[in-house]
Amino acid sequence: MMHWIEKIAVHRRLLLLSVLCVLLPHILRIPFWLTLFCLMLLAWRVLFELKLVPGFSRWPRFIFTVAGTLSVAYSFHTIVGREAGSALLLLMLCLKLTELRSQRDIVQCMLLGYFVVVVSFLFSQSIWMGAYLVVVIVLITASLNAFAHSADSDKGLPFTRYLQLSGKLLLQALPLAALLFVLFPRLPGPLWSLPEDGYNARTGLSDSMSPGNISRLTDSNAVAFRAKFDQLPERVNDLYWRGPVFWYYDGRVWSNPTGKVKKHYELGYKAIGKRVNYTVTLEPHDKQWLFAVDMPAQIPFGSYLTPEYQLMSDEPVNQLFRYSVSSYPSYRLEAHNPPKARYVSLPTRSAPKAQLLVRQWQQQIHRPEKMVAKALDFFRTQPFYYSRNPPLLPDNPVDEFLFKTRRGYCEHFAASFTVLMRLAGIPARVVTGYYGGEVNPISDYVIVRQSRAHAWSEVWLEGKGWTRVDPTSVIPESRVESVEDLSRIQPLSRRVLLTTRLDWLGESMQQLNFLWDAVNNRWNQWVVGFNDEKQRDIMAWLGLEKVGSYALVVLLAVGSSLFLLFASLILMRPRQQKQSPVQRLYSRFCRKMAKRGLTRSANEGALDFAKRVAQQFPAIKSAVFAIAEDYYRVRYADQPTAECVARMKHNLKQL
Amino acid sequence: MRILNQISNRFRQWLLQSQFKRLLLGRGPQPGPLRLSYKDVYILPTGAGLMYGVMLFLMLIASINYSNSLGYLFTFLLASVVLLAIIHTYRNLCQLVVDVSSIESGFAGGSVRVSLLVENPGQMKYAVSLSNDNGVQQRVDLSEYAKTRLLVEEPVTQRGWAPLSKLTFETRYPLGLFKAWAYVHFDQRILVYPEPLGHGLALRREQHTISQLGDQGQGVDDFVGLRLFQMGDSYRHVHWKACAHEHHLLTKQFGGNSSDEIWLDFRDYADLPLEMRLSQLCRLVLEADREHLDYGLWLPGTSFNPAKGDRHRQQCLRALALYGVAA
Repeated sequence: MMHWIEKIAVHRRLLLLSVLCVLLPHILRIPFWLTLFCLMLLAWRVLFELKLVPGFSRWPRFIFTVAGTLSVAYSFHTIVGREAGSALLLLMLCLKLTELRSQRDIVQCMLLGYFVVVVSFLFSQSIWMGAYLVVVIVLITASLNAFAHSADSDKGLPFTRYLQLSGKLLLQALPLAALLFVLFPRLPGPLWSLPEDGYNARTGLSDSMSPGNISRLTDSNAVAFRAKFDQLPERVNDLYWRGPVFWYYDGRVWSNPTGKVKKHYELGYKAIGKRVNYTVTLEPHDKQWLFAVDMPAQIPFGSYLTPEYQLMSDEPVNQLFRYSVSSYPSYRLEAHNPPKARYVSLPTRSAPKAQLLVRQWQQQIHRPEKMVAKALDFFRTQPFYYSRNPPLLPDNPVDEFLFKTRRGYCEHFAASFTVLMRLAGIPARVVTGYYGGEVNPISDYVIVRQSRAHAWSEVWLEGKGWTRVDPTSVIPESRVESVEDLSRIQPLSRRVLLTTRLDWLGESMQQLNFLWDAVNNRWNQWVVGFNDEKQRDIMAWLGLEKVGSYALVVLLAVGSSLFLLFASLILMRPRQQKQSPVQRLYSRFCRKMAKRGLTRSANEGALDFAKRVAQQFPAIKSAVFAIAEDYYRVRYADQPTAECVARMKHNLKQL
Repeated sequence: MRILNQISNRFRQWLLQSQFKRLLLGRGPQPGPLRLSYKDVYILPTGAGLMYGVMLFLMLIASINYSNSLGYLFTFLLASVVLLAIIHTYRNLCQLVVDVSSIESGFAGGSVRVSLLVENPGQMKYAVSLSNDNGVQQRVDLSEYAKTRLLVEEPVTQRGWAPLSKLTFETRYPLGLFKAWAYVHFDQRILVYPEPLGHGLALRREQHTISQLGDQGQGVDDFVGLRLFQMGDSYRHVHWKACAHEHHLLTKQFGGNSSDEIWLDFRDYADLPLEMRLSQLCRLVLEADREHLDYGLWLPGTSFNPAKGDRHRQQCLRALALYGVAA
């Protein structure tokens, strides 16, 4: 049934297969019409090779090209940049399939394929993508190989041979590629400024907070970032990673509408206690947020602090980004600067019931710290439930939550607590970010997943400054609806951490998970995150500290030449002709005889030698003659080898 | 001025005699077998190879621009692949041993088949193409540790000795990005007979005057007489009885049909230019041979008595080919 495939020349088969494989990783990303168009062109080409459909003349091709380009421009609003550029390249690749007349066309198509493979890395640099695209490179190289071998003639080897050679070639090329990768100087990009390279909706925190924003992330196992600490803190679960800070409340949504932000580099707080140093490897999320443990002390180059002490990068993080930070987990922030009025303002009539409640409290409580404690007490004693799927709060979310539903996730608690504080005249703001992390026992670093996204509150107290208050931490255990959330709440209430005992399968799955994450992390550190800093580390490790990029290039050139010299010596050495099995067996026979004192001379025929041996050792006469006969049969009479070889082996054993 | 001349002469001498000679002019014609060593194989990128280079450059630019690590890695991987391909392409041609196995002789204006024996003492070599001045002759895969016979068509134009044209072995395997080639120039020569032209035997028979000597008695039918024994006469035809009397060997002669033998004489065509003469004679020789006649050839300096057979034909043709040509 698959005979129709044989009708297509081998190199075209490989080419079409590789174009399909090149297209696949992009299907989820490019507009649907483009996928359809490319697949149709592929199908057309297959049918054309089978001579079932006619070819394309020049005009339809031209029209398709122009129409395709315009459609790409329309879908992406541009034709330059990462998204539009790659879509255009895919379009060109598939359109090239309609014009494969001359040798040059075919080679151009294959080279375009290579190019799209490299462009694919602009979208993902995971291990899977790397492994998959290596296979695609092997396919394209095999098609080049098949083309160089048999061009358009039908004679050719089965395509597995081409794949074999292609794979061998790539394996041989790996060491040199690794050498180039390590030593090639990393020039600072970008070389040209492009319109903001598209915003892919990625999971993570957002620019604003409304009920439901953070709870939607609870199921996401996607890694937000990983952190390697110089010294792992004892209570990893106590780490609060500061993200976007919101102070503007419009009645439903918390946001941060400052336009031009005044960048801070100096830290106006008093540090208390020990400093923690760590390196964060942040997954790309197209925003400028960088995450650091409250409060960052030393910020990395290329970043700044907002007035709310959120760490931001100068450029959006659209690639894996590694940065080193140090923080003081204990601090006193702006203890004696009364904050701006905006931290107290609320829209009028945003939460009337809450207003009444606060007025009630204010009759007995006059000190802000006591007010904070009172509010927390309210959350603890009243039946509030910490739930992942709280009911929706269409209007008046704060009142609804505080008095009616009383079921919510961290954003509900944080938001309503902040509103309560503001109603009491205490400056407060909502802080979102991540909380805690899991330690990977294999490589000792902390993984923070999207499921650890969290929201808490910060209140300003005279003499103490901005103080973190996490209302969810006071929820008693019995009122936490899902088991996973327990670990997030208990440490602050000083209870013993309940470890859920996993069964054997669960344990090994978790181990595997950790192992995989460790591998992934190594990949991120050493391959994806390889930059000039890492290069300098390697140079230092080799003992060549004072190496500028000029010296790197020299080292590179020398290394490559040495490698190529070495490779040519190995590849070009004359190979010994491999003996056929019969010859090997016969040589073994001769060696055996030599041990007994009978050496076969170079010009002695097998039969003559056999006669001589039979004279000397009449006992083994039959076996010896059988061996010689089989030898002749295979070498000169072209008889089936297998049985003769088997017989020879048998006879040899008898000797 | 003289000094400059001297210097330039010396320099030219040195160039020609040094290793550069081989580089600039290639090896001159040599007797086989010839081995393609590393000195004889040249290698350069093809058009596809140059396009590949441009592609690598663009990839590198893109990787630099987006600081994309895997982009760098794969660009370097593809660059290494092509560098290794150079070695593979080179290896695909090196160490072949070529020898001329046989050369046909042919007629001017036609072509001649030269049979080459190519030995591959190493691993399998793919897509090796052989070409001469006439274009690409063959494109083959050469099996490992084996000999392959290849045929080459050589057009020949002039009679006499024609040199074998320079052969080129070329390959672009494995990736078509680099082209390796080597020249093979044998010093063997092709014997080119003159182009058979002019009128045929039938016309000639009409014009032919009956041989002045009458019936020479070279046939095999009736006993006509005796003549002195000549070297090459069959011993069956010796008249032994007569020998007993005469004390020297005598051969019986048998008369055949009148004039079944012809003499092809150079002097008969004095009105033609030399080449035409030879071409005419050549044609006649071929026709006579085809019709199984006994024919003799007379050329200034050589003559062949009437006879027939392959060897006689070859001798005659060779004489015609090499008439006036320095050996």
